[in-house]
Amino acid sequence: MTTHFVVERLNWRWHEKGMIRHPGSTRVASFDKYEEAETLCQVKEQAARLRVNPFATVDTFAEVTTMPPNVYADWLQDHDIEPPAMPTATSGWFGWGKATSPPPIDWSAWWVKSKVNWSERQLLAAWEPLTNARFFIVNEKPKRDVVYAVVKVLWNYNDEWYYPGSEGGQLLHAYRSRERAEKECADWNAAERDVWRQQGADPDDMTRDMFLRYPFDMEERRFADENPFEQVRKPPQERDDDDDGGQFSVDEVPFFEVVELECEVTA
Amino acid sequence: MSDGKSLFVIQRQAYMGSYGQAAALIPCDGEAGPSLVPIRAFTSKQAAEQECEKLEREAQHTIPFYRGFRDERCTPQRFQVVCQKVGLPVPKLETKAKHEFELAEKNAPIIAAWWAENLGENRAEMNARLWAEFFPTWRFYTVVESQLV
Repeated sequence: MTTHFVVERLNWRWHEKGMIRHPGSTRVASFDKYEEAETLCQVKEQAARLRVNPFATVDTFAEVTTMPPNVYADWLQDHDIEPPAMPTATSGWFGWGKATSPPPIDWSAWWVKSKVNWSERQLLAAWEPLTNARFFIVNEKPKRDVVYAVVKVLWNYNDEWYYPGSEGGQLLHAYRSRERAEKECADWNAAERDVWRQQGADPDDMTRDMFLRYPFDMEERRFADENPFEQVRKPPQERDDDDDGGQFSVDEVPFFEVVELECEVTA
Repeated sequence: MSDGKSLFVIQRQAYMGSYGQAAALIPCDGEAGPSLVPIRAFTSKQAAEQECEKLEREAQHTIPFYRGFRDERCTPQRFQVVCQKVGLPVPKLETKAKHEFELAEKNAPIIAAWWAENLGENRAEMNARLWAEFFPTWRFYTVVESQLV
């Protein structure tokens, strides 16, 4: 079986404090030549690194690199970056009293504060030793057929607003043709929006309260056109005065989506 | 591939990424049902299940096991038992907090630091073992039958 080189985005997703890695990956592009795949992978990796705070992705420094903090501090200085002050343990007053452990460095806060003064070259240099936080990889894989699944986004209700799962939903059908999958998906979305409107979730009905017109909160789910390395998209500012609603309308959120997946055919 | 043919689709469980202030993988499994992401299809059920197991092991190797914590399983007593069983030193966890979620927040960096310092050279295998010990019923991937239209 012939192979090709697939650029994949590892499944890092935003949560309240930063990004964490979820299982799996998403296919971005495929190439016959490794060099072409590696070039795209590097471009995308650098673009992600320019946006993400590496220390907001982890609970402890050692998760993001095998390099000890003092060695990383030296590395930073070698690239004209001022590292945070290295704390030292105290042994009490002239050796008396209780000895204390050094307080932990808040690397995430240091990154946010320092980054504004760095050039792009310095920022990428600061990232270089942080090898445990990678966003894109290249995998050599057999060339396979592709099919297109339509999933129903599952919206739950928490007594105040509706919220979906962070990705996927319920698999309905798999289609051989993207066009057919997209057509079915669009039809189902339109029908579902009609149902919601009939049930009162109509953004154009100005007689209704804001939380009824905008009852959907995407929470950690991303819109299809969003850059996964940017902060989760917020609803327009003018809707912020409503505390109880989800703040997106029936016309803005997905009810069905198309997912491309490889299909391995066995004789 | 002919239309109407059965496909066996591997699906990945979707997760929310936080529990209070602690980073955690919380399965998206509300009253509407579990949210799952179709990732690969096979015409052979056996091939799908084999690949599913491979992906499961890969996830257990790469995702830190403590992302599964959010409740009473994150106790010093449970760590004591598991660490003795797998031959690891026991982390010094906080035991007091007003609410369980506060305890999870306090202990998240302690467990992460312990994980980073103590898992040794065979980190991936040990991480998979800890997933199995703490979360024996946890599944990242499942297989479902579907029809090609």
